[in-house]
Amino acid sequence: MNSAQETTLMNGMISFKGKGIASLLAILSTICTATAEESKFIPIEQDLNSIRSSSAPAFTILDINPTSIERPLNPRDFSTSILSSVGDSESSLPGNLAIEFAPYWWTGRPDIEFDDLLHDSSLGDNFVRNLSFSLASSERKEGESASTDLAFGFRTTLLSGKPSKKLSESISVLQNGQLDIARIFASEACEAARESGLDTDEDPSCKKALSLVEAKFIKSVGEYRKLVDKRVGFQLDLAAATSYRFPDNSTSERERFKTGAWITASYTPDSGETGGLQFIGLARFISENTDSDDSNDNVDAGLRLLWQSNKQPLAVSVEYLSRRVDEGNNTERYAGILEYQINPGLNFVASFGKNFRPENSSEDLFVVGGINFNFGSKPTILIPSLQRPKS
Amino acid sequence: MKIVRLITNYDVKGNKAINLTVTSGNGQLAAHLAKIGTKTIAEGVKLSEQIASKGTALKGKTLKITSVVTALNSKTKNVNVSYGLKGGAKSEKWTSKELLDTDQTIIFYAEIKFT
Repeated sequence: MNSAQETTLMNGMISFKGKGIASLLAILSTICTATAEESKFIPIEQDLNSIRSSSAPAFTILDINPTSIERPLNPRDFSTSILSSVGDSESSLPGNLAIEFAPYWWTGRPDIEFDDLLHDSSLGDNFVRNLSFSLASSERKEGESASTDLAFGFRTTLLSGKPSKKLSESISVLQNGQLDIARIFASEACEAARESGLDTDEDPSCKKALSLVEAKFIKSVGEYRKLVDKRVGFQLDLAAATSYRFPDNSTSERERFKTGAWITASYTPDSGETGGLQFIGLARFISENTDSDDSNDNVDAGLRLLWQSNKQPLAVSVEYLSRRVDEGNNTERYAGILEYQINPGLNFVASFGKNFRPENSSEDLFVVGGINFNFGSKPTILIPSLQRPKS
Repeated sequence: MKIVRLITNYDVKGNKAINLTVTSGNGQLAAHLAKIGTKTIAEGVKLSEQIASKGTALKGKTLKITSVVTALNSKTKNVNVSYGLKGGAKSEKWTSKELLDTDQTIIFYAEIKFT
């Protein structure tokens, strides 16, 4: 971690790394700007389960996540993050790009019913349905020289847990709501309107009756939505990634930088609510090339305890990792992490603690904070307003 | 609420029983209602029903199916409803599909005239 305070927008995130209160003040200032801009957009109900920093393996191998132990994540068909170094770059244009995609869902899957996804499937089905690939880049500046890191990764879920008991009970409420809409749509009044060549919306009595059941149904969707993405019980994720470094941004100088694979196991008790506790464990192997053309193999093992609020889009967690270094001193990392969803797609993330101690350095205190914005299935992109004005 | 329509015919030649299936895929939440005239012949999250013991009994009638689908599966925007009929001159399968944002709801409406 650099000792100098540094502000970067990267990994779909504006992040501030430093050692002082100034870092956190800068974060709060940026949140205020972002929130003011955000209010121009149509509000969507906040989804507690989407509070999280990006956890694509390509990000993880580049070491640009505020947390080292990520929660299992529901992959989207396509999601993108723009990465830019605001503090370091003279350009206001985003300098880096990261994408993650789940190709299985690019084409229609007419044979997969709602129940098939609700309940845990076979290992093979889980592997294929949850497989996602990620590509990421990160610009690095050391003194006068600049380099770019490119990373490629994949991840999947082998065991996906189960829906909460409350969701299982709620499904029939939602399906009854859908049937109410179907009954009104197929009623004699609406049928008569269709037969006379009118659209459903053009017949006042049909439109009124449909509006009433639709409003009730939409309310139910909003109420139960928060439970849909929440999985309880035991989950197991598998991920791997590799990265290449391009010193002086030259392809001829390309060198493999890091390669790693890891498994993440988590257990979520069924609290009957949207929030609650989650226990997450990680085992990770990373091989890192050193300047002397040797590789340095690290094995990480860690635990994270996470609590998510039922009422507020807030999650607080602590994590501990132990790193066994192949040729060097073993080291450890512990951190406290706070995640708050300002708006859908716009999350505030802060972590602080003691990082892995690099060789020949005593610096290990870190404060990382920032705004993480995810876009893809639920896009909200406010890149220009998030950039810190140049001094 | 967006409506996607399918208007088609089904040849009920012969004396075999006519069976209807209606399903929705892409991991999305759905419910279906099937009517012939004013009579509801089936409703539920997935339909698989014998709708007539002899095909000829349906000749000239119209089967109307209303399906309400909500995109709760945030992995994809694809939504679809598949309709199948067996027992007539030949087995037929139709699929209506659309792209829908997460949490949005759509109505798929099918009219199948028995000829």
